[in-house]
Amino acid sequence: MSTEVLRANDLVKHFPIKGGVFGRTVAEVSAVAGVNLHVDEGETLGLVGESGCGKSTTGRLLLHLLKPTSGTVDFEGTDLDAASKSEMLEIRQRLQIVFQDPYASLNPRRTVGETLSEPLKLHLGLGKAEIKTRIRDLLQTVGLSPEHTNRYPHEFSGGQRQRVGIARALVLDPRVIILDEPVSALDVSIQAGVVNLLKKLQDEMGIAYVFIAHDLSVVRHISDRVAVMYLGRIVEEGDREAIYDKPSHPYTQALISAVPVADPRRERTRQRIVLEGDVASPVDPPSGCRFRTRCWKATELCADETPELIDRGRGHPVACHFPD
Amino acid sequence: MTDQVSPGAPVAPKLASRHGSGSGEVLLSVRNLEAVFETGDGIVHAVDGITFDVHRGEIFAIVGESGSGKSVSAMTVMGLLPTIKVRSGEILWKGENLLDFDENRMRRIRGGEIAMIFQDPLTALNPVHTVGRQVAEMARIHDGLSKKDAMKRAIETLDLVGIPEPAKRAAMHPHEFSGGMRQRAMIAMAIMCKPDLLIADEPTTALDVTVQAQVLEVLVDIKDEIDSGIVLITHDLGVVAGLADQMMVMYAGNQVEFGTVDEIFYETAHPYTEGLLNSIPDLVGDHSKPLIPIKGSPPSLINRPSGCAFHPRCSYARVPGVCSEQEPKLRDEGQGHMSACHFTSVDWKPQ
Amino acid sequence: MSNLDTEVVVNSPESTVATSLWADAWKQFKRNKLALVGLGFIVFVLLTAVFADLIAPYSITDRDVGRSREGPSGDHWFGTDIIGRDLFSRVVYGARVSMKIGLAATSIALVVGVIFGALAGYIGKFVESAIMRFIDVFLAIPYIILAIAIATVFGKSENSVIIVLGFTGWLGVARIVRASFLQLKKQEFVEAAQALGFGRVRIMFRHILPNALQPIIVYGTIAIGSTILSEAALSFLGVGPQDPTPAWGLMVSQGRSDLANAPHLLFFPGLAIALTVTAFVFVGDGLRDALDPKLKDR
Repeated sequence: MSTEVLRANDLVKHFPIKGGVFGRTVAEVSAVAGVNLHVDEGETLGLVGESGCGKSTTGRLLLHLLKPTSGTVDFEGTDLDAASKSEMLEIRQRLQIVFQDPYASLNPRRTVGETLSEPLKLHLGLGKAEIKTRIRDLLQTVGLSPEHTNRYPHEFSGGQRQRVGIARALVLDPRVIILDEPVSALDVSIQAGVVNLLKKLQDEMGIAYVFIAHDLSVVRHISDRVAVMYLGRIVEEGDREAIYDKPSHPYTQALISAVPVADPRRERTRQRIVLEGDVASPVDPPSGCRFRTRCWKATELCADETPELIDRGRGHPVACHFPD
Repeated sequence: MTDQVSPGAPVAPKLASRHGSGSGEVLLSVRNLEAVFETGDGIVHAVDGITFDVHRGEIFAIVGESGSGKSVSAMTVMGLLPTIKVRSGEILWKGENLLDFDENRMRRIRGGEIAMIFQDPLTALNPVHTVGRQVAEMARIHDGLSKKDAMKRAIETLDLVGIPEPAKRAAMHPHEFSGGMRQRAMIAMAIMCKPDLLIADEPTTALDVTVQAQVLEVLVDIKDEIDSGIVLITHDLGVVAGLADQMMVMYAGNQVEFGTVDEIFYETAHPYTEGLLNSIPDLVGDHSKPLIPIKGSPPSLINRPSGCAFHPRCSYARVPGVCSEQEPKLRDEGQGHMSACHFTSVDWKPQ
Repeated sequence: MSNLDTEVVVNSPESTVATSLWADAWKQFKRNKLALVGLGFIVFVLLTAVFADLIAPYSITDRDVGRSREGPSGDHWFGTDIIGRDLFSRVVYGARVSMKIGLAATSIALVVGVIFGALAGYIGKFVESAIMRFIDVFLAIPYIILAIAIATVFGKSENSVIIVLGFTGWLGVARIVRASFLQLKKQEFVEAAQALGFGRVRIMFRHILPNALQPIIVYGTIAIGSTILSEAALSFLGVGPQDPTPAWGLMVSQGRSDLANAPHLLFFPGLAIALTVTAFVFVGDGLRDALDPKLKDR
């Protein structure tokens, strides 16, 4: 019986572009344009898309690091916007984030020990001895040595720094972790170790993940369900088999077809869809379906009517008037 | 994953039909190149004895992770690193050793005969000048064309790389282009003088995957169009699998494996290459199979491990005294497939 | 499943000693000869200020009657001033005055500047606009006029000078701090702190500020030097400490009137000012290079 831990309802986020002498808002970037998604306990939802699709912004909205222009985010049933300060403080313990850049995500002026102990002191009011024990256990869990407590971030490799970032997210026993491109900045052979660690932690601790990434191969490896984003909207959402083996939305098909596979024979015989043109600007997005400017199936209907993200008989929601 | 493509989808022609056979003349021949940086902290052994050939019409890939020395190797060939000291070896370009060339001759080679394409077009292109002017500049400098003629050729070249409305675009500045278009502009700049060799250093790493597919298409088309060779430097084994004819794998400045793409992917001879291939998640196949990382991290290029640079991380370094003491030389595994491991793949691979 | 255990990292970070960024900076700093010379001189001046009682042969008020306006001699190394006081002793005690004013005023400027700069940079919006406009307005007022106004209200003394220089000095500091905070607050470790529910004050002063210290330290060091110079100017104009306080600027002013006959009265205090200020500039430059992570000559 799976319980839902996180839900986004019609999330919309516009960023104003200021211009002119008085700093008036001259245009808006429609970064997230009506996103609905949910994550169940202990599962991983992969959120994929290319640059500008709004997945990072969505991640920040889910954490309430950004306030939505409209729409709500519910964590364990509580609306994050409506939560009181003390409720929010409690929620933040259980809803955490791991960032992309292992170099910028840790305070360069703090040792690893200081970075990890601060939340324990502030949120849980633990004593020194207890904190020391917890940190030691935590570092071992993420594959680092407890001797590393007194080191500064610049003394670690990228992969190790990322593990510290994961340790920081784990320190208060979260139920959900948003991971924003957690392995993109790492070498391939190091990525594997971090991905394995994340899987192990999920198996042992039952944490749910929202795994935001552009690398489809990594997402396939770790996600139970996947949502594909394009220009601020989710165009298709389903479980792993549905998205990777039987994609219905033309963009999903093009995306998967474009990913190179480390198998020469396969690569040589593959049929690869090559899209025309560039991604449209989120400042002035196309009317109706935002993908229509690059879609080979586009008709007038696509420009007039925005396709809803609903189940059109394929078993999972697709936002297209002519899905496969 | 299915290979069934939705009917009507714009599909690129199968790459198999366009693979170069690599039988063209030898353009670039690097032999035992060794180069170091001398720094206050010690000697950085950036390139430690690499050997390879690139033929006309061929795509040669240099694969490695960060710190492997792949970019430094390419920059050394181009003579673009003033602080690097070449200790030994030769870089033969059409038979002549580039290391003997003075700066003037090198400058004529660069752009004119060997052109380079970089990873980040935003920083590689001058933000102050229009794209057209920068592309045209190549022809003015190397071929001595007039401003008008050079611009004409520039616009033709922009068209060749698939930039729509090239005349209009030539008058724009780099920041007005999208990432994919900027990279195409860089390719245009590189091919203006019909170079014999293109060196592409991580040309699509910074691009979205759908744009990457477009740009790689352009690269292969162009290679055929001007009949040049390509040296493709990347960490992405998927890109290499689809494009390259021959390749080499680098680790800690060393060349650890060299051969055709099929040999390296299907008859892997070096433990590091195998480690790399095992750590990549698959788009197809069994997703529940765990990824196998390579334990540890790449070594410092100043204090390298004794013996084989990879031995501290190698799951197969069982024989004491050999892997940790002796530096392995490149061995022929058969038909020119080279591996820098003391043991043949038959010996180290688990049964 | 044993392969999953190989994820435990094999090697520790390369350094076996926890190198702090300060140790690194000191190493860099030592390579700069001018900066070391400057530092040496500043230490010398500080020691002079602290041990003035032991160094100065006379007090600042002792008068050697009948020996006024004499040039340097065996009894009076810098000569005597217009009423026969030993110039050397007065310059030595002057070090104390200058150091006190320089350090106190700069400290005030730094503290106030950091607070307002941090608020402007981190909170932004209305707070930032208000603070920046306030700064713009005050920077437009020549500090001399402010000095005169304050001196009129509070009297002419060392403390008036400290107040004036402190409360005009913070404006420049705030601008720099704001710029640093604007840039740093976009860093992911700040987002991480926000995600952990830390309050704004904690984030500003315990998380961001330690990373913003570089420019503040450099600016502060050079500011001590320029504060001393400003104090000299104010004293020279008669707005600062009055006789018999041996402020260097005041002595320069007093010496100005007899330039033809007794040049030593202007020369020695003037030299003291020039050397001290230059020393601070050298040290400030050295610190800037030493603390700049991009300038590492690795």
